[in-house]
Amino acid sequence: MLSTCYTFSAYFAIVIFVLGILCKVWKYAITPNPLKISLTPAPTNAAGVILRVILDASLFNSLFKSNKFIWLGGCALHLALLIVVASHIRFFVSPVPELIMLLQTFLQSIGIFIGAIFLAPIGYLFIRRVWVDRIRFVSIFADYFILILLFCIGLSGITMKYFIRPDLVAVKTFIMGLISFSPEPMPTNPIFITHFTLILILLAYFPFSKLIHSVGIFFSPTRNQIDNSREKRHVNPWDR
Amino acid sequence: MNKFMAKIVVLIFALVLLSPFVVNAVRGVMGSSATAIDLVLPESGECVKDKEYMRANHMDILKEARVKTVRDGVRIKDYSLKNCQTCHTNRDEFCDRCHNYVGVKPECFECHHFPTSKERKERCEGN
Repeated sequence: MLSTCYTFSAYFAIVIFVLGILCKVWKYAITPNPLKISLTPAPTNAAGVILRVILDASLFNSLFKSNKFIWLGGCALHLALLIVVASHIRFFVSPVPELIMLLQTFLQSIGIFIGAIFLAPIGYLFIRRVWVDRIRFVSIFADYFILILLFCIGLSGITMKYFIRPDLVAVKTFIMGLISFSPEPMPTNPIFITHFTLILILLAYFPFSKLIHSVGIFFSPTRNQIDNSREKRHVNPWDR
Repeated sequence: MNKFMAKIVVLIFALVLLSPFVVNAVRGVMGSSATAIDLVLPESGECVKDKEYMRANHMDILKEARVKTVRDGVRIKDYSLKNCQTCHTNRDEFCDRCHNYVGVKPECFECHHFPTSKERKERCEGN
């Protein structure tokens, strides 16, 4: 019963996640750019633009220029998230690749710190949202919800790794069953069920949440336009 | 961006998002439960604690035994790695199967010797 229920909800969430993001990508990709609005100083050739977008997406340059504290928090949060997600790859491939094993050897000793590095900036962003008047004024439910959701996911993950452990083989068998379309029984560890449920909520919510910034950053015209308005005439797409 | 480019971009995103499924399809495990691991279990079927507890928490017991032995000099025979070997004789048929499957690397064997079935066989032939 539990397994059937979760297998169906998992596929449901994955379909919403994938289709939702692809719809957004399509929408962003076909949106016309009537004007050259690259944020100066901007690169004047394509290679420069690619570098700019990569740097902005990985090091958050523009955030660095505006607020050092949030930049530090953001960097810590995203880096920890990257490491955590990378170490989850071992549940999705069998046999586990050498590179992931190597990362895993390193993570086993410092895993709880990575968990802390993930949770601390979320706490900071939450407190900042409640504490600073003008930020509280512009905050809506969704802003708090996503922070709480991510915090709970991190917390349940740490709990599962260090305190109330599920049977890992059963967990991997379940996940592998899902992605190879041959469903296996769901592990009954309550923390695993919590963690998994929260992840499904995150997946289904992702395309409609502010987390879609991870996709949107590649399509923002102020970043991805080449600053060559003098060399090459920019024609408004619907005036052509 | 024109429609053709947009389609390519959507396709790239689709490939990235569906990568877990794509990788498994390429590896040819789709639709089959190629995930079950067959453990060689001892006949007695009784461990120092029950099976469910051992599956999830054996590392705690081993770690506690290590700390007690190294720091306090107290040797708990029941929970020693050597006691595991009395029933689970071969590392590759017991420890390694699950550990490799879920991608967890035990630190035990950096110091301790826990023979694999091959080593055990070679030793027997040597005698």
